[in-house]
Amino acid sequence: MTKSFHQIRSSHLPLILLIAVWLCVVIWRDSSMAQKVAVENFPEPPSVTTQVIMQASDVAFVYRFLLPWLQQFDVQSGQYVAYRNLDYTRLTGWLNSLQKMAPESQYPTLMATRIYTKVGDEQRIRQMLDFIYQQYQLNPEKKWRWLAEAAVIARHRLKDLPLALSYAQKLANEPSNVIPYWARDMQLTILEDMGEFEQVKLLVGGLLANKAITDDNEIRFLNLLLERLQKNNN
Amino acid sequence: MQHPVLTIARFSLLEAVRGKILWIMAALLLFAVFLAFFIGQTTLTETRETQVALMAGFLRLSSVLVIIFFVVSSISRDFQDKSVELLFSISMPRYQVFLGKFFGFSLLALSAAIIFSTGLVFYSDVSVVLFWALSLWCELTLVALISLIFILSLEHVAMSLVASIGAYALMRFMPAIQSMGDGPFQDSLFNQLMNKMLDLIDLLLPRLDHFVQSSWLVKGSAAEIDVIYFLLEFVLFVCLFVLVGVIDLKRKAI
Repeated sequence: MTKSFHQIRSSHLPLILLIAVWLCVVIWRDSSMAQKVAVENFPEPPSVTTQVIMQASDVAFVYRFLLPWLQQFDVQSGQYVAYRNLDYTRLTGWLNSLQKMAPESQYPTLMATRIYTKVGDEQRIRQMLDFIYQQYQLNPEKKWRWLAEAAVIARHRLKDLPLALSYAQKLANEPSNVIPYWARDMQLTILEDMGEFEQVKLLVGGLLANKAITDDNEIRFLNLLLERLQKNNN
Repeated sequence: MQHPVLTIARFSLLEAVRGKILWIMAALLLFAVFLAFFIGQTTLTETRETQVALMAGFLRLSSVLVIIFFVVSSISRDFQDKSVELLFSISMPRYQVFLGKFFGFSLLALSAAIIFSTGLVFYSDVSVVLFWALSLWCELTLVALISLIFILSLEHVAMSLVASIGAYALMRFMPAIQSMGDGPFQDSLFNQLMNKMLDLIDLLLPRLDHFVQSSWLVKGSAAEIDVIYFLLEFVLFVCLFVLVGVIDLKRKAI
Protein backbone atom coordinates (compact mmCIF):
# COMPACT_ATOMS: atom_id res chain seq x y z
CA MET A 1 0.00 0.00 0.00
CA THR A 2 2.74 2.42 1.01
CA LYS A 3 4.82 1.39 -1.98
CA SER A 4 2.04 1.95 -4.53
CA PHE A 5 1.20 5.33 -2.94
CA HIS A 6 4.86 6.23 -3.19
CA GLN A 7 4.90 5.17 -6.86
CA ILE A 8 1.82 7.28 -7.62
CA ARG A 9 3.27 10.22 -5.77
CA SER A 10 6.61 10.13 -7.56
CA SER A 11 5.21 9.59 -11.05
CA HIS A 12 2.40 12.13 -10.77
CA LEU A 13 4.21 14.74 -8.73
CA PRO A 14 5.18 16.96 -11.72
CA LEU A 15 1.60 16.85 -13.03
CA ILE A 16 0.15 17.68 -9.60
CA LEU A 17 2.64 20.54 -9.26
CA LEU A 18 1.75 21.79 -12.74
CA ILE A 19 -1.97 21.88 -11.90
CA ALA A 20 -1.25 23.56 -8.54
CA VAL A 21 0.87 26.27 -10.13
CA TRP A 22 -1.71 26.84 -12.85
CA LEU A 23 -4.44 27.17 -10.19
CA CYS A 24 -2.25 29.78 -8.48
CA VAL A 25 -2.07 31.64 -11.82
CA VAL A 26 -5.88 31.52 -12.16
CA ILE A 27 -6.41 32.80 -8.59
CA TRP A 28 -3.79 35.54 -9.00
CA ARG A 29 -5.20 36.66 -12.34
CA ASP A 30 -8.74 36.68 -10.93
CA SER A 31 -7.72 38.76 -7.92
CA SER A 32 -5.66 41.21 -10.01
CA MET A 33 -8.57 41.69 -12.45
CA ALA A 34 -10.88 42.45 -9.54
CA GLN A 35 -8.64 45.25 -8.34
CA LYS A 36 -9.48 48.72 -9.51
CA VAL A 37 -6.82 49.55 -12.06
CA ALA A 38 -5.86 53.22 -12.44
CA VAL A 39 -7.08 54.77 -15.68
CA GLU A 40 -4.30 55.17 -18.17
CA ASN A 41 -4.48 58.27 -20.29
CA PHE A 42 -3.35 58.77 -23.88
CA PRO A 43 0.41 59.05 -24.16
CA GLU A 44 1.89 62.24 -25.60
CA PRO A 45 1.30 62.38 -29.37
CA PRO A 46 4.35 61.33 -31.39
CA SER A 47 7.03 63.97 -31.90
CA VAL A 48 8.09 64.99 -35.39
CA THR A 49 11.14 62.68 -35.17
CA THR A 50 9.00 59.73 -34.09
CA GLN A 51 6.56 60.47 -36.88
CA VAL A 52 9.40 60.49 -39.42
CA ILE A 53 10.65 57.12 -38.16
CA MET A 54 7.14 55.65 -38.10
CA GLN A 55 6.43 56.76 -41.63
CA ALA A 56 9.81 55.85 -43.09
CA SER A 57 9.30 52.15 -43.43
CA ASP A 58 5.69 51.29 -44.18
CA VAL A 59 3.37 54.17 -43.44
CA ALA A 60 0.14 52.34 -44.32
CA PHE A 61 0.97 49.50 -41.92
CA VAL A 62 1.88 51.86 -39.05
CA TYR A 63 -1.23 53.97 -39.67
CA ARG A 64 -3.59 50.99 -39.76
CA PHE A 65 -1.86 49.50 -36.70
CA LEU A 66 -2.33 52.68 -34.63
CA LEU A 67 -5.98 53.21 -35.60
CA PRO A 68 -7.45 50.20 -33.71
CA TRP A 69 -5.16 50.99 -30.77
CA LEU A 70 -6.55 54.53 -30.50
CA GLN A 71 -10.09 53.35 -31.12
CA GLN A 72 -9.93 50.75 -28.36
CA PHE A 73 -8.06 52.96 -25.90
CA ASP A 74 -11.10 53.36 -23.65
CA VAL A 75 -11.12 49.61 -22.96
CA GLN A 76 -8.43 49.13 -20.33
CA SER A 77 -7.75 46.07 -18.19
CA GLY A 78 -11.28 44.76 -18.47
CA GLN A 79 -13.00 48.09 -17.75
CA TYR A 80 -14.49 50.81 -19.92
CA VAL A 81 -13.01 54.23 -19.27
CA ALA A 82 -15.42 57.12 -19.61
CA TYR A 83 -14.36 59.55 -22.33
CA ARG A 84 -14.60 62.44 -19.87
CA ASN A 85 -11.63 60.87 -18.02
CA LEU A 86 -9.44 60.91 -21.12
CA ASP A 87 -7.15 63.76 -22.12
CA TYR A 88 -8.76 65.23 -25.24
CA THR A 89 -5.81 67.54 -25.98
CA ARG A 90 -3.57 64.52 -26.40
CA LEU A 91 -6.31 62.72 -28.29
CA THR A 92 -6.50 65.63 -30.75
CA GLY A 93 -2.72 65.43 -31.14
CA TRP A 94 -2.97 61.73 -31.97
CA LEU A 95 -5.83 62.27 -34.41
CA ASN A 96 -3.83 65.02 -36.13
CA SER A 97 -0.73 62.83 -36.36
CA LEU A 98 -2.74 59.94 -37.79
CA GLN A 99 -4.50 62.13 -40.30
CA LYS A 100 -1.13 63.47 -41.49
CA MET A 101 -0.03 59.89 -42.20
CA ALA A 102 -3.00 59.29 -44.50
CA PRO A 103 -4.62 62.59 -45.53
CA GLU A 104 -7.18 60.84 -47.75
CA SER A 105 -8.43 58.49 -45.02
CA GLN A 106 -11.78 59.21 -43.36
CA TYR A 107 -11.05 57.17 -40.23
CA PRO A 108 -9.68 59.84 -37.83
CA THR A 109 -12.49 62.29 -38.66
CA LEU A 110 -15.03 59.49 -38.31
CA MET A 111 -13.65 58.63 -34.86
CA ALA A 112 -13.76 62.30 -33.85
CA THR A 113 -17.35 62.72 -35.07
CA ARG A 114 -19.00 59.43 -34.20
CA ILE A 115 -17.02 58.27 -31.14
CA TYR A 116 -15.29 61.07 -29.29
CA THR A 117 -18.17 63.57 -29.44
CA LYS A 118 -20.22 61.04 -27.43
CA VAL A 119 -18.94 62.56 -24.22
CA GLY A 120 -20.89 64.40 -21.58
CA ASP A 121 -18.49 67.33 -21.50
CA GLU A 122 -19.05 70.38 -23.67
CA GLN A 123 -15.40 71.42 -23.74
CA ARG A 124 -14.34 68.02 -25.07
CA ILE A 125 -17.07 68.03 -27.73
CA ARG A 126 -15.87 71.47 -28.87
CA GLN A 127 -12.27 70.18 -29.13
CA MET A 128 -13.46 67.43 -31.47
CA LEU A 129 -15.56 69.85 -33.51
CA ASP A 130 -12.49 72.09 -33.87
CA PHE A 131 -10.48 69.13 -35.12
CA ILE A 132 -13.18 68.27 -37.67
CA TYR A 133 -13.33 71.89 -38.85
CA GLN A 134 -9.52 72.01 -39.27
CA GLN A 135 -9.61 68.81 -41.30
CA TYR A 136 -12.42 70.22 -43.44
CA GLN A 137 -10.34 73.30 -44.17
CA LEU A 138 -7.44 71.11 -45.30
CA ASN A 139 -9.55 68.96 -47.61
CA PRO A 140 -13.12 70.24 -48.11
CA GLU A 141 -13.99 67.77 -50.88
CA LYS A 142 -13.17 64.74 -48.73
CA LYS A 143 -14.23 66.02 -45.33
CA TRP A 144 -17.43 67.99 -45.95
CA ARG A 145 -19.68 65.22 -44.61
CA TRP A 146 -17.95 65.37 -41.22
CA LEU A 147 -18.44 69.12 -41.04
CA ALA A 148 -22.12 68.57 -41.84
CA GLU A 149 -22.31 66.14 -38.91
CA ALA A 150 -20.38 68.62 -36.77
CA ALA A 151 -23.05 71.24 -37.56
CA VAL A 152 -25.75 68.80 -36.44
CA ILE A 153 -23.84 68.07 -33.21
CA ALA A 154 -23.35 71.78 -32.54
CA ARG A 155 -27.03 72.42 -33.14
CA HIS A 156 -28.58 69.52 -31.21
CA ARG A 157 -26.01 68.46 -28.60
CA LEU A 158 -24.34 71.78 -27.78
CA LYS A 159 -27.42 73.89 -28.63
CA ASP A 160 -24.89 76.35 -30.02
CA LEU A 161 -26.76 77.69 -33.03
CA PRO A 162 -24.15 80.32 -34.05
CA LEU A 163 -21.46 77.61 -34.17
CA ALA A 164 -23.75 75.29 -36.15
CA LEU A 165 -24.54 78.17 -38.50
CA SER A 166 -20.86 78.97 -39.03
CA TYR A 167 -20.19 75.35 -40.06
CA ALA A 168 -23.29 75.25 -42.27
CA GLN A 169 -22.28 78.51 -43.94
CA LYS A 170 -18.83 77.09 -44.70
CA LEU A 171 -20.54 74.21 -46.47
CA ALA A 172 -22.96 76.48 -48.30
CA ASN A 173 -20.19 78.76 -49.54
CA GLU A 174 -17.86 75.94 -50.61
CA PRO A 175 -17.28 76.36 -54.38
CA SER A 176 -16.76 72.62 -54.99
CA ASN A 177 -19.59 70.75 -56.72
CA VAL A 178 -19.04 67.71 -54.51
CA ILE A 179 -21.14 69.08 -51.65
CA PRO A 180 -24.81 68.12 -52.16
CA TYR A 181 -27.76 70.45 -51.84
CA TRP A 182 -28.96 68.96 -48.53
CA ALA A 183 -25.66 69.95 -46.92
CA ARG A 184 -25.76 73.42 -48.46
CA ASP A 185 -29.36 73.86 -47.27
CA MET A 186 -28.39 73.26 -43.64
CA GLN A 187 -27.74 76.97 -43.16
CA LEU A 188 -31.37 77.72 -44.10
CA THR A 189 -32.84 75.40 -41.48
CA ILE A 190 -30.44 76.65 -38.81
CA LEU A 191 -31.29 80.27 -39.63
CA GLU A 192 -34.97 79.32 -39.39
CA ASP A 193 -34.31 77.82 -35.93
CA MET A 194 -32.63 81.07 -34.96
CA GLY A 195 -35.72 83.01 -36.05
CA GLU A 196 -33.88 84.74 -38.88
CA PHE A 197 -36.79 84.32 -41.32
CA GLU A 198 -36.03 87.39 -43.36
CA GLN A 199 -32.45 86.25 -43.92
CA VAL A 200 -33.70 82.81 -45.01
CA LYS A 201 -36.09 84.40 -47.46
CA LEU A 202 -33.33 86.59 -48.84
CA LEU A 203 -30.98 83.63 -49.25
CA VAL A 204 -33.60 81.38 -50.87
CA GLY A 205 -34.72 84.18 -53.13
CA GLY A 206 -31.14 84.82 -54.14
CA LEU A 207 -30.48 81.17 -54.83
CA LEU A 208 -33.58 80.87 -57.01
CA ALA A 209 -32.90 84.13 -58.81
CA ASN A 210 -29.31 83.49 -59.90
CA LYS A 211 -30.30 80.24 -61.69
CA ALA A 212 -27.25 78.44 -60.29
CA ILE A 213 -29.40 75.54 -59.09
CA THR A 214 -30.44 73.19 -61.88
CA ASP A 215 -31.85 70.30 -59.87
CA ASP A 216 -35.68 70.25 -60.08
CA ASN A 217 -36.14 68.71 -56.63
CA GLU A 218 -33.91 71.34 -55.04
CA ILE A 219 -35.80 74.14 -56.78
CA ARG A 220 -39.12 72.63 -55.59
CA PHE A 221 -37.75 72.35 -52.02
CA LEU A 222 -36.62 75.99 -52.00
CA ASN A 223 -39.94 77.19 -53.44
CA LEU A 224 -41.88 75.24 -50.78
CA LEU A 225 -39.64 76.69 -48.05
CA LEU A 226 -40.21 80.19 -49.40
CA GLU A 227 -43.99 79.63 -49.55
CA ARG A 228 -44.05 78.29 -46.00
CA LEU A 229 -42.07 81.24 -44.66
CA GLN A 230 -44.32 83.71 -46.44
CA LYS A 231 -47.47 81.98 -45.08
CA ASN A 232 -46.05 82.08 -41.54
CA ASN A 233 -45.24 85.73 -42.00
CA ASN A 234 -48.80 86.50 -43.10
CA MET B 1 24.83 15.83 -64.93
CA GLN B 2 23.39 18.76 -63.00
CA HIS B 3 25.57 21.83 -62.49
CA PRO B 4 27.04 21.90 -58.94
CA VAL B 5 25.47 25.32 -58.28
CA LEU B 6 22.02 23.94 -59.09
CA THR B 7 22.65 20.81 -57.01
CA ILE B 8 23.57 22.88 -53.95
CA ALA B 9 20.57 25.16 -54.57
CA ARG B 10 18.26 22.15 -54.83
CA PHE B 11 19.55 20.68 -51.57
CA SER B 12 19.23 24.03 -49.77
CA LEU B 13 15.62 24.25 -50.85
CA LEU B 14 15.06 20.60 -49.96
CA GLU B 15 16.42 21.30 -46.49
CA ALA B 16 13.85 24.06 -46.09
CA VAL B 17 11.03 21.83 -47.30
CA ARG B 18 12.04 18.97 -45.01
CA GLY B 19 12.54 21.42 -42.16
CA LYS B 20 8.85 22.28 -42.52
CA ILE B 21 9.61 25.95 -43.31
CA LEU B 22 6.80 26.00 -45.88
CA TRP B 23 4.40 24.74 -43.22
CA ILE B 24 5.55 27.52 -40.91
CA MET B 25 4.81 30.01 -43.70
CA ALA B 26 1.36 28.48 -44.24
CA ALA B 27 0.70 28.75 -40.49
CA LEU B 28 1.77 32.42 -40.54
CA LEU B 29 -0.55 33.07 -43.47
CA LEU B 30 -3.41 31.41 -41.58
CA PHE B 31 -2.66 33.58 -38.55
CA ALA B 32 -2.60 36.69 -40.77
CA VAL B 33 -6.00 35.76 -42.24
CA PHE B 34 -7.36 35.29 -38.70
CA LEU B 35 -5.85 38.65 -37.70
CA ALA B 36 -7.49 40.34 -40.71
CA PHE B 37 -10.85 38.77 -39.86
CA PHE B 38 -10.55 39.86 -36.23
CA ILE B 39 -9.54 43.42 -37.16
CA GLY B 40 -12.39 43.50 -39.67
CA GLN B 41 -14.84 42.97 -36.81
CA THR B 42 -13.53 45.98 -34.88
CA THR B 43 -13.14 48.61 -37.59
CA LEU B 44 -15.81 51.29 -38.13
CA THR B 45 -14.92 52.14 -41.71
CA GLU B 46 -12.23 51.37 -44.34
CA THR B 47 -12.33 47.74 -43.25
CA ARG B 48 -10.68 46.29 -46.34
CA GLU B 49 -7.91 48.88 -46.23
CA THR B 50 -7.18 48.16 -42.57
CA GLN B 51 -7.27 44.41 -43.09
CA VAL B 52 -4.94 44.39 -46.10
CA ALA B 53 -2.45 46.87 -44.57
CA LEU B 54 -2.13 44.91 -41.33
CA MET B 55 -1.96 41.56 -43.11
CA ALA B 56 0.68 42.76 -45.57
CA GLY B 57 2.80 44.38 -42.86
CA PHE B 58 2.63 41.32 -40.64
CA LEU B 59 3.45 38.95 -43.51
CA ARG B 60 6.40 41.07 -44.65
CA LEU B 61 7.93 41.25 -41.18
CA SER B 62 7.37 37.59 -40.40
CA SER B 63 8.73 36.44 -43.78
CA VAL B 64 11.88 38.50 -43.25
CA LEU B 65 12.40 36.91 -39.82
CA VAL B 66 11.71 33.39 -41.13
CA ILE B 67 14.27 33.85 -43.92
CA ILE B 68 16.93 35.30 -41.60
CA PHE B 69 16.45 32.54 -39.01
CA PHE B 70 16.47 29.81 -41.64
CA VAL B 71 19.57 31.04 -43.49
CA VAL B 72 21.56 31.52 -40.28
CA SER B 73 20.50 28.19 -38.76
CA SER B 74 21.05 26.28 -42.01
CA ILE B 75 24.64 27.51 -42.54
CA SER B 76 25.36 27.16 -38.82
CA ARG B 77 24.30 23.50 -39.05
CA ASP B 78 26.57 23.11 -42.09
CA PHE B 79 29.47 24.37 -39.99
CA GLN B 80 28.61 22.00 -37.15
CA ASP B 81 28.16 18.98 -39.47
CA LYS B 82 31.45 19.86 -41.23
CA SER B 83 29.48 20.04 -44.51
CA VAL B 84 31.21 23.32 -45.30
CA GLU B 85 34.63 21.67 -44.96
CA LEU B 86 33.42 18.81 -47.15
CA LEU B 87 32.19 21.19 -49.85
CA PHE B 88 35.44 23.16 -49.76
CA SER B 89 37.57 20.03 -49.90
CA ILE B 90 36.16 18.81 -53.23
CA SER B 91 37.32 20.27 -56.53
CA MET B 92 34.68 22.94 -56.80
CA PRO B 93 35.34 26.69 -56.74
CA ARG B 94 34.12 28.37 -53.58
CA TYR B 95 32.06 30.89 -55.52
CA GLN B 96 29.93 27.99 -56.78
CA VAL B 97 29.19 26.93 -53.20
CA PHE B 98 28.19 30.50 -52.38
CA LEU B 99 26.04 30.87 -55.49
CA GLY B 100 24.41 27.47 -54.90
CA LYS B 101 23.42 28.42 -51.36
CA PHE B 102 22.27 31.85 -52.53
CA PHE B 103 20.08 30.44 -55.31
CA GLY B 104 18.57 27.92 -52.89
CA PHE B 105 17.65 30.64 -50.41
CA SER B 106 16.38 32.83 -53.24
CA LEU B 107 14.03 30.00 -54.28
CA LEU B 108 12.84 29.76 -50.69
CA ALA B 109 12.20 33.54 -50.79
CA LEU B 110 10.18 33.01 -53.96
CA SER B 111 8.11 30.32 -52.22
CA ALA B 112 7.47 32.71 -49.32
CA ALA B 113 6.39 35.49 -51.71
CA ILE B 114 4.00 33.12 -53.52
CA ILE B 115 2.49 31.66 -50.33
CA PHE B 116 2.01 35.01 -48.62
CA SER B 117 0.60 36.81 -51.64
CA THR B 118 -2.16 34.19 -52.10
CA GLY B 119 -3.81 35.44 -48.91
CA LEU B 120 -3.79 39.04 -50.12
CA VAL B 121 -5.52 38.33 -53.44
CA PHE B 122 -8.90 38.46 -51.64
CA TYR B 123 -8.25 41.96 -50.31
CA SER B 124 -6.67 43.83 -53.23
CA ASP B 125 -6.32 43.97 -56.98
CA VAL B 126 -4.50 40.92 -58.42
CA SER B 127 -2.03 42.96 -60.49
CA VAL B 128 -1.03 44.98 -57.40
CA VAL B 129 -0.63 41.79 -55.37
CA LEU B 130 1.67 40.45 -58.10
CA PHE B 131 3.86 43.56 -57.88
CA TRP B 132 3.81 43.27 -54.08
CA ALA B 133 4.90 39.62 -54.35
CA LEU B 134 7.69 40.49 -56.80
CA SER B 135 8.90 43.23 -54.49
CA LEU B 136 8.71 40.91 -51.46
CA TRP B 137 10.78 38.30 -53.32
CA CYS B 138 13.43 40.94 -54.10
CA GLU B 139 13.48 42.12 -50.47
CA LEU B 140 13.67 38.58 -49.06
CA THR B 141 16.41 37.62 -51.52
CA LEU B 142 18.51 40.60 -50.42
CA VAL B 143 17.87 39.76 -46.75
CA ALA B 144 18.85 36.11 -47.36
CA LEU B 145 22.01 37.24 -49.12
CA ILE B 146 23.03 39.54 -46.27
CA SER B 147 22.29 36.84 -43.69
CA LEU B 148 24.37 34.36 -45.73
CA ILE B 149 27.33 36.77 -45.80
CA PHE B 150 27.08 37.40 -42.05
CA ILE B 151 26.87 33.75 -40.98
CA LEU B 152 29.68 32.68 -43.35
CA SER B 153 31.83 35.50 -42.10
CA LEU B 154 31.02 35.50 -38.38
CA GLU B 155 30.27 31.74 -37.93
CA HIS B 156 28.28 32.65 -34.81
CA VAL B 157 24.51 32.26 -34.68
CA ALA B 158 23.56 35.00 -32.20
CA MET B 159 25.94 37.56 -33.71
CA SER B 160 24.78 36.80 -37.24
CA LEU B 161 21.11 37.08 -36.26
CA VAL B 162 21.67 40.44 -34.58
CA ALA B 163 23.77 41.70 -37.51
CA SER B 164 21.20 40.56 -40.10
CA ILE B 165 18.22 42.07 -38.25
CA GLY B 166 20.22 45.27 -37.63
CA ALA B 167 21.18 45.53 -41.30
CA TYR B 168 17.54 45.01 -42.28
CA ALA B 169 16.43 47.78 -39.90
CA LEU B 170 19.09 50.09 -41.36
CA MET B 171 17.96 49.30 -44.90
CA ARG B 172 14.35 50.06 -44.01
CA PHE B 173 14.90 53.14 -41.82
CA MET B 174 17.95 54.79 -43.40
CA PRO B 175 16.03 57.78 -44.87
CA ALA B 176 14.47 58.47 -41.46
CA ILE B 177 17.85 58.25 -39.71
CA GLN B 178 19.39 60.55 -42.31
CA SER B 179 16.58 63.09 -42.00
CA MET B 180 17.11 63.18 -38.21
CA GLY B 181 20.75 64.07 -38.83
CA ASP B 182 19.73 66.90 -41.16
CA GLY B 183 17.95 68.87 -38.42
CA PRO B 184 18.49 72.63 -37.97
CA PHE B 185 20.72 72.31 -34.87
CA GLN B 186 22.91 69.48 -36.16
CA ASP B 187 25.84 71.53 -37.45
CA SER B 188 28.51 70.43 -34.94
CA LEU B 189 31.61 68.67 -36.25
CA PHE B 190 30.51 65.38 -34.67
CA ASN B 191 27.10 65.57 -36.32
CA GLN B 192 28.63 66.43 -39.67
CA LEU B 193 30.93 63.41 -39.32
CA MET B 194 27.99 61.21 -38.37
CA ASN B 195 25.99 62.44 -41.34
CA LYS B 196 28.89 61.66 -43.70
CA MET B 197 29.13 58.19 -42.18
CA LEU B 198 25.39 57.64 -42.61
CA ASP B 199 25.65 58.75 -46.23
CA LEU B 200 28.45 56.25 -46.75
CA ILE B 201 26.45 53.40 -45.14
CA ASP B 202 23.50 54.41 -47.30
CA LEU B 203 25.64 53.83 -50.40
CA LEU B 204 26.51 50.33 -49.19
CA LEU B 205 22.96 49.18 -48.46
CA PRO B 206 19.86 48.93 -50.66
CA ARG B 207 16.98 51.33 -49.92
CA LEU B 208 14.34 48.86 -48.84
CA ASP B 209 11.92 51.67 -47.99
CA HIS B 210 11.19 51.74 -51.74
CA PHE B 211 10.39 48.02 -51.78
CA VAL B 212 7.31 46.29 -50.31
CA GLN B 213 4.70 48.86 -49.26
CA SER B 214 1.31 48.08 -47.76
CA SER B 215 -0.01 51.34 -49.24
CA TRP B 216 0.12 49.77 -52.72
CA LEU B 217 -2.42 47.19 -51.63
CA VAL B 218 -4.52 49.74 -49.74
CA LYS B 219 -4.85 51.96 -52.80
CA GLY B 220 -5.25 48.93 -55.08
CA SER B 221 -3.55 50.70 -57.95
CA ALA B 222 -0.29 49.72 -59.64
CA ALA B 223 0.20 53.21 -61.06
CA GLU B 224 2.31 54.46 -58.13
CA ILE B 225 4.63 51.44 -57.93
CA ASP B 226 8.10 52.27 -59.17
CA VAL B 227 8.95 48.79 -60.43
CA ILE B 228 12.00 49.89 -62.42
CA TYR B 229 13.51 51.56 -59.35
CA PHE B 230 13.29 48.57 -57.02
CA LEU B 231 14.27 46.06 -59.71
CA LEU B 232 17.36 48.08 -60.64
CA GLU B 233 18.24 48.53 -56.96
CA PHE B 234 17.76 44.78 -56.49
CA VAL B 235 20.00 43.76 -59.41
CA LEU B 236 22.77 46.19 -58.45
CA PHE B 237 22.88 45.17 -54.82
CA VAL B 238 22.61 41.45 -55.54
CA CYS B 239 25.73 41.81 -57.74
CA LEU B 240 27.50 43.87 -55.05
CA PHE B 241 26.63 41.50 -52.19
CA VAL B 242 27.45 38.36 -54.18
CA LEU B 243 30.90 39.81 -54.92
CA VAL B 244 31.37 40.72 -51.23
CA GLY B 245 30.33 37.21 -50.18
CA VAL B 246 32.52 35.45 -52.76
CA ILE B 247 35.60 37.55 -51.94
CA ASP B 248 35.07 36.98 -48.21
CA LEU B 249 34.64 33.24 -48.73
CA LYS B 250 37.75 32.98 -50.93
CA ARG B 251 40.00 34.48 -48.28
CA LYS B 252 38.45 32.36 -45.53
CA ALA B 253 40.72 29.78 -43.88
CA ILE B 254 38.87 26.56 -43.16
